[in-house]
Amino acid sequence: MESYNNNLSSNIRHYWMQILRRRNLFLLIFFSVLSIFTWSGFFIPAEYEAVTTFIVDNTFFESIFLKGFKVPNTDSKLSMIKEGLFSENLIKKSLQGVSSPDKKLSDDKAVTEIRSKLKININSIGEKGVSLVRISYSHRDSQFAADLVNNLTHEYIEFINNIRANNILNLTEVSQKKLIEYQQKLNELDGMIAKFLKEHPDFVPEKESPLYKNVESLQFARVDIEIKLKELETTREGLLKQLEGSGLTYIDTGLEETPSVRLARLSNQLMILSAKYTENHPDIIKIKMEIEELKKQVGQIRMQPDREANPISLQINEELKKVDNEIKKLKVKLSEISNQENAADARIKNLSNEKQEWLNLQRERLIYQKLYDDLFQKIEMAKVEFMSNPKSILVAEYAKTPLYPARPDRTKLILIGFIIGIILSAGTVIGISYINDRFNDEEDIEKELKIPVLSVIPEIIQDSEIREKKNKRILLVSGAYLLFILLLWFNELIFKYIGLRIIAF
Amino acid sequence: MDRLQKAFDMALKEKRLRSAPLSVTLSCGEVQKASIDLKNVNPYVVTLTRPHSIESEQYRKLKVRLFRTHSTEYKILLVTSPAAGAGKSLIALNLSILLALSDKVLLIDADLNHPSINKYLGIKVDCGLGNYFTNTLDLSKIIIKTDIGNLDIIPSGDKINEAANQFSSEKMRFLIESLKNHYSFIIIDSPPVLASADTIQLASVCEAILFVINDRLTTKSSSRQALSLMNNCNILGAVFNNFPANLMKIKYPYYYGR
Repeated sequence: MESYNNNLSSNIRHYWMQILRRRNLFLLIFFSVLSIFTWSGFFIPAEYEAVTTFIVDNTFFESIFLKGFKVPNTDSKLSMIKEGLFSENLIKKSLQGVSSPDKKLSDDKAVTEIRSKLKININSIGEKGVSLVRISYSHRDSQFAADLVNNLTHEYIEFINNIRANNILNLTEVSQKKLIEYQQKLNELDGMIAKFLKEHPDFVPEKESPLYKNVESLQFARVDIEIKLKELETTREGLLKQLEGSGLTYIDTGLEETPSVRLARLSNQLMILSAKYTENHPDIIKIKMEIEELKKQVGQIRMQPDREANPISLQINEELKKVDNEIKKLKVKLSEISNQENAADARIKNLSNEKQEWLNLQRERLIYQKLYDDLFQKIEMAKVEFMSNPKSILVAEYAKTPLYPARPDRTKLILIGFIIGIILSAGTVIGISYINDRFNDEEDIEKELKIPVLSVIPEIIQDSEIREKKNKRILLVSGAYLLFILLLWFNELIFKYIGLRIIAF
Repeated sequence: MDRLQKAFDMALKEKRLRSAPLSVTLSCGEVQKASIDLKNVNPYVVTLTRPHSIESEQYRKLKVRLFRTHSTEYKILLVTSPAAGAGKSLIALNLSILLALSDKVLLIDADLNHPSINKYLGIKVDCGLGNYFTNTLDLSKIIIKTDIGNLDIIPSGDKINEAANQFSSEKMRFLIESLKNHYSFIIIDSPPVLASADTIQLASVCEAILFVINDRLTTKSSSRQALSLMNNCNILGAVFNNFPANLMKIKYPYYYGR
């Protein structure tokens, strides 16, 4: 250990001597590098970075996706937020309220340029906790950078809240109409039941008979499956809609239904009507025609070129497969129940007309009651959710007009210049001492010539004094220049962190 | 004006350093005796001008290492270097002065083309080794006795043709053999090895060689070349001359009061 320390100190002394031997060259390289880095910071056009930070409640990610979609992981959330913020519509909207210094640029070019300089960083705190999203944008006009980032944040939050509101409002508005329809139907059926009992005063309903019980349980099972199927179809359409990338664009247009959503709603309506009427009923024919038309429209949308494969698309595809399998299983189950019902119907046909009519009335009322209860529950849940979670995105800090340029960072440049200068100059001097054909010290002579050095005679004092005087002048000038750069660095450092500038450049 | 005066003084001082005035004049044909005036001695002869300086201390170190560690069996020492300007003559002179304080020493200036020993000591002589070779003077007439301890010198004298032949001649051998018994040490200041063939011939009559390396002038390749020319000679070691003072402060802090 001691010999290692001795070697180390001897090596350090050796290198230090080489630097001292060629100190003027060392100073020349060091100050050249330092000057290049220092002064380039004053000539490179400055770019200012504006930063906005907002906090996103992670439950919000569940609410903006349709039911059945798995909560995305951090990467997917980042991709989702990025896709949203990078969307052309959003950037164009954000640009509308800002006076752009690049007036010559067309909208498309401006969007491309903004996209290239926009940086998004997301930090999640727990899977069910919150995510901290940081949006930054750099531009040579500090005011423009700050305004754009703030506008973009504002537009994004509004856009996301619209999605949530649209999802819930779509559900409630459409469902309220449906609920009224069901209520009217139930009232109508109650009237028909009352009328039937009035017309047949001697009729005693056999609620407890095994046949009735069987038919009733089959009806319940069928309604359950039909509702589940309806939900899965809706989920499927939602997933398809997201896969096509229509999610962000369609919902943004307002409260109008998309073809996919309308198709799902009409399919659901058709299913309910089919349970009630024959295929030749005018309402059923009308709905079928509309469904065919919508299917063509959805098909055209799906024929559009595939979007870039991203984590969300892959996840949606996975979910879609699961939903398709579930639908398949339920359809099989439904056909089994239908067979059983047909068998029960055949047995019912043997019953008297009165009993058959009563049974049909009961079955129809049961279906509508079930549909009504289910829909009512959903509407209430959606309202509670919307009321309890009014804001999922909260802006932590809006962008302020930056005073200190992000690029070039003069304090960093001076520091880098200082470090690189020392490394380069020391490296050059030591390198020269290795390749130089002159002897560096007595050890060098002994090593090269294999003869002992009997004495080292120093240069005569008078000679060294003359040279030292010259060197002192060089050192004085170098010291003064270094001090000036040091002051400059402090000046920039104070301005960067405190905002106070002692000397303005 | 002060600055101008200072610059003027410095220039004068520098001029004096480079070419010290020669005030003592000796003529041929007599038994020579020279009284050395310190005012006329070149300041580079530090063992005389500044005997307590760091430079003088390094010469004393050289003397000790040369003649204490190698015993006194080497009486005839040749001082040479690969190329000119390395400081051979000064090293030979300073070493001779130190040795002459206790022993009888003869310093021969064998650089016939560029004589310098008499110049450093501030004496002007008309005759020397060259005259001995041309048979114009006896051996006893070319030796100059100085008042620096027991130091005698043989200056280079007249320039001669084919000096190399003379250095390997019987006459040269006779000179060395004759003087060897009278002096404890004979120091020969020779021309550079690579510049003249004289040194190789001189080396054959010497017992040991001191190799001078100048920090600013001597290259590794020229040193190797010079040593290869003298591969049969007894090279005692090297003297590293003109080493930068600022580096000496790091290397030998004791002497520099650090």
